[in-house]
Amino acid sequence: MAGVTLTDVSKIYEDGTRAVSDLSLDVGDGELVVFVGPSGCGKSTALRMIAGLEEISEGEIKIGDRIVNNLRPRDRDVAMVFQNYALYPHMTVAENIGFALRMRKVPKEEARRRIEETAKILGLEEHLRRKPRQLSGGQRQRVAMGRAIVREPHVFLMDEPLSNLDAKLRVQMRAEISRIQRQLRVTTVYVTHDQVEAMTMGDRVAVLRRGLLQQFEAPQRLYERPANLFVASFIGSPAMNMLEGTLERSGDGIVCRIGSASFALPPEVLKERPALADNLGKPIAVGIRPEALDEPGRRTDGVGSLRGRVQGIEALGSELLAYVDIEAQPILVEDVLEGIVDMEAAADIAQIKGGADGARATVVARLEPSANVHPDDMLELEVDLRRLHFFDLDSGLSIA
Amino acid sequence: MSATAGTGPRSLPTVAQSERRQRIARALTYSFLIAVAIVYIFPFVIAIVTAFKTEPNATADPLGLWPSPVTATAFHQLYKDQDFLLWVKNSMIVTLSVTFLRVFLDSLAGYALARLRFRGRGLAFAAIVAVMAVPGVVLLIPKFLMIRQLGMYDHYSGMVIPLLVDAAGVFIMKNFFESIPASVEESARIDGASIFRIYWSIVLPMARPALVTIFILSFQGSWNELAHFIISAQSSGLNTLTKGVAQLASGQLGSGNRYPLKLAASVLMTIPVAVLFFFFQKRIMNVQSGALKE
Repeated sequence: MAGVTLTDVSKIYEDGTRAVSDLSLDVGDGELVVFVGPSGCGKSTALRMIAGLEEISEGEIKIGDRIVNNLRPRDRDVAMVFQNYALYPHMTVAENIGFALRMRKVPKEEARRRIEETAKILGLEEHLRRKPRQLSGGQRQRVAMGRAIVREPHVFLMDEPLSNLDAKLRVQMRAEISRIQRQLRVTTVYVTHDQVEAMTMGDRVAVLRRGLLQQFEAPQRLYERPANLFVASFIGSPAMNMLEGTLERSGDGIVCRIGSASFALPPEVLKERPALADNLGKPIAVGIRPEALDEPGRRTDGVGSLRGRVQGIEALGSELLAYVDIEAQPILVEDVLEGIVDMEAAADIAQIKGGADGARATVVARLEPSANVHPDDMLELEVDLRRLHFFDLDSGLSIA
Repeated sequence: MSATAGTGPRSLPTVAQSERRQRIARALTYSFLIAVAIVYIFPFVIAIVTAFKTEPNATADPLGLWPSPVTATAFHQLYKDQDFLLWVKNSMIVTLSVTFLRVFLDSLAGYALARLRFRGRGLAFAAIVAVMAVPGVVLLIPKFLMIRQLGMYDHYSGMVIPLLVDAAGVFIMKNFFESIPASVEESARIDGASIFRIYWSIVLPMARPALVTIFILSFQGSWNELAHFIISAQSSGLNTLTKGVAQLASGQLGSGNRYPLKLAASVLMTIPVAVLFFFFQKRIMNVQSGALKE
């Protein structure tokens, strides 16, 4: 096994387009790292550079202690799973799985044993003699995994391996890939545009945008402390509510104003984010996760309130999402829109449109399923002030 | 009438009327199509029928659709009096060599043009396309001169080698290879396959529909080729079926019209190509399903 280290890696095409810029990160031995970002962010290009399918324009990639920049794909000891599976249609499942072993001249008996072992791990024993066209989508996906596993490579590279499956199967295969990866402890780089996949599978997640690494952290940390507006908007579903606010001094403390509402920030927030004191008086972006908004009376301390009319509700069984129109200036800068739009969540787009008239914004609140909320109700949303996020509007960076 | 139709209210045809019109239109269309089909099929039917006629019968009633008496004399004569089996042997040797080697070389060239990056690739492809625009007849004399210069005249090599690659085949293969998803080949590259191995073990089996097409076109093309064999060989020992039958038809090999003999030879000559089409028609289809998630 071996880790993967990228140092200042760039991909510049002949026409000067930079698909990846100065990407530096390390994937630990046996770790599963997810590259996530909207389409065109460079995540697949980065993966293909690790695989050797794409030339590296600048920088250095190491697998273990070896610099692999100039090694052919076959000499890098990596195995890759493609989005469209890329199975060999004229070969049986067993031949597909065993192809790499045949290329490496593994003795027949050993190859047979390894193919059978792999098939067992993936539950493909009964299908070994079938051709890919006789398999279901999920089974084909498993064959693609099998081709990677049987090699016992140093590194697995997975390029959106689940995006062609239906939603239910995707959840199932997500768990399966995680299980197999944990079982085999193979260093894995996994590319996806689906932030839920990234959050649930990754030991660490690298968020990319326009070829630049935005943040590289454990999923929970990414969710709780997004480094900038883009990451804050991109990670989390529904997306974080972004409202314009201002900070003002009030006695010893600081007050945050959003529209006509104002909240005294709790001391622990000020302690955790000392830079807030340097941003008094100018407009900043205030981020509120949907679960930081609640019905009145649920919290006892550290709360403020935002009042508005309920525009719509979505009862999802385990939770209830309420879309509430409040008096506030929505943040519609590119960093935020790019993060949200890519998730293709209609509700989020509705939120943007709803707030586009200027001084009113639609926020989404994640409430208990039993919440007594109906469309057109006036609702006093409680805001958990300890879970607010603050961003500089010029740089987009988190104020901490 | 047109004045009233233009100004007055137009009465709609009844259901029965419109059904009648449709029936008549359909009957007319089918009559036309059947007539055209008969015109196309008739020569072939005449050829088969005449092959079983006696010579006086064929001369007296050349278009008769029933031989009287029915006889296989023409076939017997063909076997006994002419070098028919030699022509078949020569045609087989030339056609099979050309077909198999052409399928291989066309696909090799097509793959290189589709997937490999090399200097002059665009120019090479442009030249191949340009060759397709040149009528074959124009090249007959230069070809003859070259064949003679290279010492291949009146030899199998002169009959086979100039036919080994054809621009249309390279063109078809290149286009087909481009339609195969790159990820399948990339996957094989990561699995450790060399370029030739990818071509041979992955891409070629996936290209079966295109290969079958090239196979049929090449077989048919070289089986029916005449002009090239005229300029590349002279001795009767190297006569192919086309050349032999052409000589028969032109009367070089005997006197009289000898329709049954000539048409028996023609009928026999069409059998291999017909059989080929019959067996391969179902193979000309997509075999890629299963490679990718559609």
